[in-house]
Amino acid sequence: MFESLKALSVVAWRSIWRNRRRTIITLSSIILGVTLVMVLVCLGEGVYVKLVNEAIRLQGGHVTVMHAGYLDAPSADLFILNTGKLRGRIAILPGVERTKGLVMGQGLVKTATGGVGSLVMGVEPDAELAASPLPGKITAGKYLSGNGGAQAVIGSAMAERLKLRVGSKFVVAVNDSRGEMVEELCRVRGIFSLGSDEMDGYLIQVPAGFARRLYGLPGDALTYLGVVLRDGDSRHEVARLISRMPEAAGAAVLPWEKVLPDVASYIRLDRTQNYVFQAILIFLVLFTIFNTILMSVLEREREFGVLLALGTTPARLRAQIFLEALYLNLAGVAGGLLLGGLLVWHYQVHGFDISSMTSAEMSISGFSMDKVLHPRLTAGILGIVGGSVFSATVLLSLYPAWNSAKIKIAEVLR
Amino acid sequence: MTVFRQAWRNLWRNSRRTSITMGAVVVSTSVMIFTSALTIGMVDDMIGSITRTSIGEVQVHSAKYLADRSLYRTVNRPATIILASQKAGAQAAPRSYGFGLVSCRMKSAGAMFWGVDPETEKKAFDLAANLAGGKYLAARPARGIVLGSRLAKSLEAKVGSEIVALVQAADGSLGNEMFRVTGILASVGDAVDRNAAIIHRGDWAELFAAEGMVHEVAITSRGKLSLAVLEGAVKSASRRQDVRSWRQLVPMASDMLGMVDVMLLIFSVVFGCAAGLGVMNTMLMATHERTREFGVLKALGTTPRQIVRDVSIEAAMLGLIGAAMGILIGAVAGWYTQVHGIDTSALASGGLNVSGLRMDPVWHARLTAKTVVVPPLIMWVMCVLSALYPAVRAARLDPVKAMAHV
Repeated sequence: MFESLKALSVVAWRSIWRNRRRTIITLSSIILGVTLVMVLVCLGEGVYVKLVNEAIRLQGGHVTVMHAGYLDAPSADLFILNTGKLRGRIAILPGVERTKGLVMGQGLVKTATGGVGSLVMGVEPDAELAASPLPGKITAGKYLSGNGGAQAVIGSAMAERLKLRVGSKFVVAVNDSRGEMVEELCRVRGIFSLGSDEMDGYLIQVPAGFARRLYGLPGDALTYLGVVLRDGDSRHEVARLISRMPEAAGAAVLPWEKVLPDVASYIRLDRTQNYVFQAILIFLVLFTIFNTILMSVLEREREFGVLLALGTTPARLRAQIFLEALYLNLAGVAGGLLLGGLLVWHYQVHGFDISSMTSAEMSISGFSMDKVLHPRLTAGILGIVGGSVFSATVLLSLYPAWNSAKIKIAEVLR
Repeated sequence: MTVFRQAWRNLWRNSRRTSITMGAVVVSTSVMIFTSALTIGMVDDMIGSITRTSIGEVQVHSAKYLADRSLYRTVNRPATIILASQKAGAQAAPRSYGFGLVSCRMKSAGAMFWGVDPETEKKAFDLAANLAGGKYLAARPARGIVLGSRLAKSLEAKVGSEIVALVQAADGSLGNEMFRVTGILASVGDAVDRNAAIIHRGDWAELFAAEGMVHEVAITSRGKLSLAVLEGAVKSASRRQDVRSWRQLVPMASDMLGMVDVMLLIFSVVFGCAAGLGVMNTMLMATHERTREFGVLKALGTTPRQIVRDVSIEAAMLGLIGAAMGILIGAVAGWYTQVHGIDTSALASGGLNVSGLRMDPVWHARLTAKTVVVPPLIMWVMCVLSALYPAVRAARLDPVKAMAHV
């Protein structure tokens, strides 16, 4: 049995290459089909990686610890206390890059020119320098330093509207945690430009110590304790570990999707769209592969007739055709993964510039989107695409293989 | 004519080969029609979700209103604008806005009071029908109030609760009135959910001690008019006031659509390649396998030119029938999806909320002339060209060699 299987596979292999043109056409169907699926899948995966990363690092990290009631009704008097020990324990969890503390509240920024509502974000300058994209987007002046001091970095749109420059003073007015109106004088230390009007006209960052004084909060109060991870995929695991710590009792430990629902929502929309289109494309590609295999078997009827007339058993013929298809599918899928992988990898490194296709500035929820797409290739995608297309084509090859022996010898030999 | 009849007969001489090839054309054409209709429909749906809830396609404000939302920057001659919009085939809703405080028993919160004309809102926008509980406002001023979902939650207000409104009126005095909750909105997006306190325009005028103030005219044609046409019509009636399209009013949603647009364009190219590949490969192989037949024909005295001509006519006929069937199937699938939609809520749990706007999870396709005409044309050309290459090759072959071909 083994001997005959071995012989059969040799026959099948030779038979594939006897008609090279036919084989090339069939192979190209599979290779190009797999390549197209790869391109589509990887493109969908990669588009928002950068967007998510920036948004997460600017705000509360991959996992955020906060007062249980904060998300439902954000307010400066909902904060967490005694975070020192918790931070120490979180910092040594596997995969954690660093922790960052934020004190946040609403406020009004006023100058002689007018006033605008703003999000006041109290930060720890050292943590931000290491984790957030904002310090790198300073276009004038410098980023914050030190943990106190009445200094601020503001967005370029707000600076323009209020005619503020580096070094100028403004008043920030807030309702503190006891509900009283507090006003403080503050100096512009730097101006940032994140590329989206929503952020550049709305956000100001001040040192956390100053923000606590402003809102009348105790010394170590934080609105968000953000955890930045090296690999975002481990966020649910890390969130689970943190929520079990006794120091985090009573607080909400949330993955970024809950903290930045807009960004998560956009990604969901995009994902859903991708799923639908991927399904249709895979259908089209499988149909094409099926069609080419069917046709390549059909055109060999005469050859099968001769084989059957010479005494080859139908079972053997079917096995041979199935083996041929198996080889072709294997080679085609491997070739497609290679070609598609190389193509995607090229664009992952060099980027795919779409600025010629759209004129709009693009930003989601205040985080600007890059106009150079970077598709993302992962081992998982290779495995899933390769595995699913291969098993589907093997199943589809069963039909032509079965049919190959169901011919009327006398008729096809005429 | 005989050439065509012969080609027709030839097609059915090997009916299995012809059906396989035709199958490729049919499937490729219909999938392309369906996906292009789906992409157009998706973008349309998103625009609809953005504009039809309450924003409208175009809004008119007084020149500087959007910068400071001052109570005193009102729209000039709103009636003229409304009339012009209606003449152009759209509906227009006048709205007044003012900040204030709402309280319900011990709880209080800041709110944006919308003064609306309930009948117009019901006709033109979806917000009025989008209630989680209770009813929308009555046609006449009756001290009813409709609250955003989060606002109602933080006030712990229910349908029937009494609400006290406290505002600074237009004349500088304190406006203080009592309302009763008639309805609570379903969640439509952050801005409305947290802030909206919707009352009748008549009640609004009393609360703010200001008759006839209009801060915004929201205009919608519900997708019937192109944005440029509607904007033009409104602009000419509003005389140097601030006329903005939804793209300028919610730039983020517009940006997101821009991104979606680009992605869909790339998807279309990928689909075009896959469909073209399917037709090309099948046709190449189908013609190639006839090399032997062409050899015989040539040996019998048929000229290469005749062979190429016959093959092209056969391919053209096959492509035509395939494309026609593809149009039929693609159009039926597209039409079905246009009417019934694809419900994606199972794929995207948790709702789609972008830029404070809720997106409809049911996608509809939209068939346009272009989506029905262009894909079959591409597939047909592809079909004929892919037959031509192997036919030319075979027609040039030495008949003896061609006949020996397996």
